[in-house]
Amino acid sequence: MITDFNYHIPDATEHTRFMEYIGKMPSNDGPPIFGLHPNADLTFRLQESTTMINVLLDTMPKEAAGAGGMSREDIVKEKIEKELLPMLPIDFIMLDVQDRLKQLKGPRGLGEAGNLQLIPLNIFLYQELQVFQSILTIVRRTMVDMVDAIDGSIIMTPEIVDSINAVFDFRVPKKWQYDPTGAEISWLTMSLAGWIKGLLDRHYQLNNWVFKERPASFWMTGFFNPQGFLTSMKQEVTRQRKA
Amino acid sequence: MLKEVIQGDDGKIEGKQLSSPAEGVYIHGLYLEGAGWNKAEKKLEDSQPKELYYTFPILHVSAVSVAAGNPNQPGGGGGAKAKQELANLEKIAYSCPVYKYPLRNDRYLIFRVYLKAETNGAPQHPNKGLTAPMKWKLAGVSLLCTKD
Repeated sequence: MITDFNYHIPDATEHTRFMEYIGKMPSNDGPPIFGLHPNADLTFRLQESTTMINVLLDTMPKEAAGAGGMSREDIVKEKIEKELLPMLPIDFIMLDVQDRLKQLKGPRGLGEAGNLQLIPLNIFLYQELQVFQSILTIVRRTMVDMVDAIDGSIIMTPEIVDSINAVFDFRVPKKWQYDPTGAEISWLTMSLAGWIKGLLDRHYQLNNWVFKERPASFWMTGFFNPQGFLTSMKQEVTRQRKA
Repeated sequence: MLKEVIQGDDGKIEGKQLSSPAEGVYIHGLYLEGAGWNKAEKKLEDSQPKELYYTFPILHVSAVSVAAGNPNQPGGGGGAKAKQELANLEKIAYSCPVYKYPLRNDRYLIFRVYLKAETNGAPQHPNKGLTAPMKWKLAGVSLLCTKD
């Protein structure tokens, strides 16, 4: 597949020689001619097949009853009640968090904790916790709504139908990733399992940070605002230097 | 002006308990795409076939004042010197972007890390005048926060 074909401008004046040269070119241009590693071809093919499989998934019939007599709604309801809802971490209580932040230590040499104002990364942590909590609230709300709508105690809205379809197909409900204006509010993943794992991992890092101590190494992927994280870090270094 | 300066500080991760650095932060969980990482020499190298992603070692990210230099770092004294060092770094190191997702666009760009490029990397490429950092730029090498 990867050829050693020598790409150059043919040194000739006749039309036929040019045509001959062009005829010899490989039908597939390997990534190296663009300066890419041959692995780039592999990445491309993987993406192509993933896209194709996703399209195939979208074409699957939605209205047909599932195997074993259980309807689509029943499957989703059971999944949410037995698997997803019990998995969700408990809410952060912002008052507890604020108390805790007042005691949380900063980096070495950055004065005594006790004054929240003094430690930029702790302020950052508070902001992250607020965003995380808002996501968690949305997720819990949607899950409860889905179950209630399936039971018939609230009206089934197109949004809830969308969410149910997403959970059935192991996709992430739109409401968890985008706000009504279409802006991203959380992390983007292909599968529902990956998204839930992201939720739990993020909760783990934030929870440990706020209720135990600042981690030695940060999982930057788990922040909503990594630029803000780096800015806070710069502020801390600046203040350490000043002191 | 402050600028993040990064050192691959991977000696401490394996086995031993890591403690917070005196200044700045440690970051983990990044993947390198488009190139391999030579741990021993702390520099970029060609990736192995079928190895699409490399788990990147823990990074030490800290701030350095370009105007004042870094008093804690050897040779980081004056402002002009710090600027000179940065200019030198740009010659031998590839300014590798760190993205949130494998999608490489400005929305998901977080910051850039200088990764040492091969100093003798140029001759292996047929294009003359291609410096080592340029090679990696052309290859689209980047650090990613997630693989999918």
